Amino acid sequence: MRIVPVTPDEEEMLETTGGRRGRVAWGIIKEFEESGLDKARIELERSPVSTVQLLRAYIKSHGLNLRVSHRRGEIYLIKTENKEAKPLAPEVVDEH
Amino acid sequence: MTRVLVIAAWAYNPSEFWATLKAIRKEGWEFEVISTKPVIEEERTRNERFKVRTLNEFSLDEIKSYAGLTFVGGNPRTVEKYFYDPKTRLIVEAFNQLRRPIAAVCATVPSIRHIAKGKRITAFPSSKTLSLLKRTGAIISDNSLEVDGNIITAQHEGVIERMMEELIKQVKLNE
Repeated sequence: MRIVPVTPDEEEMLETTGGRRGRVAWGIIKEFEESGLDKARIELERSPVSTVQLLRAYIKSHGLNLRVSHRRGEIYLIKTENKEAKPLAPEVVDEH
Repeated sequence: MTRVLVIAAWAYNPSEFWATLKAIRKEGWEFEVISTKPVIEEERTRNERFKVRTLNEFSLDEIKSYAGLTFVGGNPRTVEKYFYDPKTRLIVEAFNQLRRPIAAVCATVPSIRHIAKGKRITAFPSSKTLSLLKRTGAIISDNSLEVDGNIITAQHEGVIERMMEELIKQVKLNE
């Protein structure tokens, strides 16, 4: 083993987090968003069980309006309703 | 304009939440809801999300402009946040010093335990709720509604309308 001082290039690189994205989930979600579909089946060569967990964790941590469904061994991505928070106006109370 | 302060669990119980706000609106009064989070949502469906001020954004100097204080419960874990929150304690104690009515329902009652020493109160009879209240010297009653001075407590959401009627009555007497 050797301990090597970093080069100026490496030093600059280490000042940021590198903008790391989810290695698996980010790619799938990006392609799904670019497809413009509301629902899609995801065909992968990975195990669906682990991929579903990755996608769910990514969606939860990023607060995305997406839902993952794992049915009959297939993974589905579904867009969900945007649950925007509204101001609590008196009229909202009167409507209830 | 009369204003009532409502401290709500961020995952709120809709029955308690809407009954409280409707009772205030029925009098033509204003309300302000504050919580531990800037967005509150219905505890089960996670829908009906509203933007509110947080406890940290609320200043103790504003208390004078409110005629009463009430608590709204919800998901137990979000309600318990108020039990040990120092800002909540300061707000409750400030309202009590001004002798303004303070109402709490069901599992939210321990949030007002610091002013309940020697007072008759009722609460949802869970072991945690009861032990917290006993430790502060409150007299725990099994009635569904208890009124002791400016402290109004309800055992469950079924009597929230009566609790709000009592709060409104006391606010009117103070005016």
